[in-house]
Amino acid sequence: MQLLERYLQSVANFLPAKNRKDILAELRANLTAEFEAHEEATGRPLTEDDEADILRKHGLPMAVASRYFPQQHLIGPEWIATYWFVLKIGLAVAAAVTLVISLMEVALDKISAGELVAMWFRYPATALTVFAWTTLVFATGEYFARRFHWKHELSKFCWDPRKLPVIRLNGESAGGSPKSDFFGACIGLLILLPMANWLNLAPLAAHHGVAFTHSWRTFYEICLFCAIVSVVIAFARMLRPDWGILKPATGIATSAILLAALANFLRYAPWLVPSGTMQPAIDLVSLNMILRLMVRAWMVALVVIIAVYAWSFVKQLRQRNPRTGISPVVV
Amino acid sequence: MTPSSKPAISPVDAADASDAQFENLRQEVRRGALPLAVLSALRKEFYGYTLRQELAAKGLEIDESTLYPLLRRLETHGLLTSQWREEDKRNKRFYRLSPAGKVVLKRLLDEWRTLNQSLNDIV
Repeated sequence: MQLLERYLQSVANFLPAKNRKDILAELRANLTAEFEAHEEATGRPLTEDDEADILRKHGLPMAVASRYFPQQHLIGPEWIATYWFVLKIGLAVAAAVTLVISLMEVALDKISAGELVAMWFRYPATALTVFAWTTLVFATGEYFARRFHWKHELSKFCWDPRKLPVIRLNGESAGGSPKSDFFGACIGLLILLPMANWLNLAPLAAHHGVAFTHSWRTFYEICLFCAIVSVVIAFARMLRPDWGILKPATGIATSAILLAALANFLRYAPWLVPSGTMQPAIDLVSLNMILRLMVRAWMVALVVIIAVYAWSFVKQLRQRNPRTGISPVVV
Repeated sequence: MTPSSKPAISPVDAADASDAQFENLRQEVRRGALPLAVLSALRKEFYGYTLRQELAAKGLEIDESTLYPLLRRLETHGLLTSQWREEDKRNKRFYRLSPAGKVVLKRLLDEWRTLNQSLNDIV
């Protein structure tokens, strides 16, 4: 019987404290009954080997004890898909923020390459924090849902299938159908067109003694070209919604052209100069500095946009049907 | 290389995988049936070990480490009542179906019979 006591002691180490004594007493009674039944069946007292056999069949102490705990999970099946979705978004946002900050710092010549690498080495810690908070929030929700039996009610949550998002073709962003993309591109073009007159600039020059340099004209023409291309491509996508790959392809091309145009624009500072003999009414040095910052920020944003489009492009290439060349419909 | 370019699984590995899958599915099928069997058996009073013997005698072998925690869980849910009592000079915990357990058992048995009938029709 000494083995039995040692076994029960090992099980006790892992049992929930609340019912430990009661569970052990019951286990002892059941195992003792089993020992006695074995003795009766064999017609002899139990040997240590017999005891060991019975206890081995009964199970590893830790495994036996774990069955006396209520079935637990941090996040149950009802929420696990939402949890993964939120976690993925959180990690992506953390990565994007790190990327934008690091590119901004580089653009503003604030950090060295070594510091940039160090910044990215800190990303795992940020990701871990995002993971910990997301898990904590969902686990807390799960705990209260289970405790107050909300889960059943949540599963009956009122929703209308007619309000689900429409089917999207590959290449469409969540917020943009070909029609809305075309509309957006037209608005962009309509905003750009009147600017041709501003660049000649009489009003500003006359009133404030400021003139735009010629580099604006070149930059403006490139922007106009990109806007026209966007309108044409958006129109083509309206006619052929299955050409989803056009959107990221054009996005990469126009963003890259704009990026090159901005880099070129940066080389020709200052961009605002005194007009004629009149003393400018505003501080052109500060204005040019603000412009430089804005251009750099725009360049950083374009790098991020190119990365996003490139990701979408690669994804669609991989999903493309090799026989028809048509991307499958994403539901 | 086949078009799928996946490595072929050896027959031994396939048999092992199949055994493992069968075992998992078997456990799932049994998991749902065990509480029903235990509740039904406990219309008569038993303590843990004798209940296990009773079920085994009727062809339903259950591991001790599964049965004993299950008894406590059913009691926590109010479907069983228990009582410590001396028998053969030893204290033992005897379980029996509670009034709430009787109601649940009746409903479960109806469900079981319907399911059984449907399954018989399907298979």
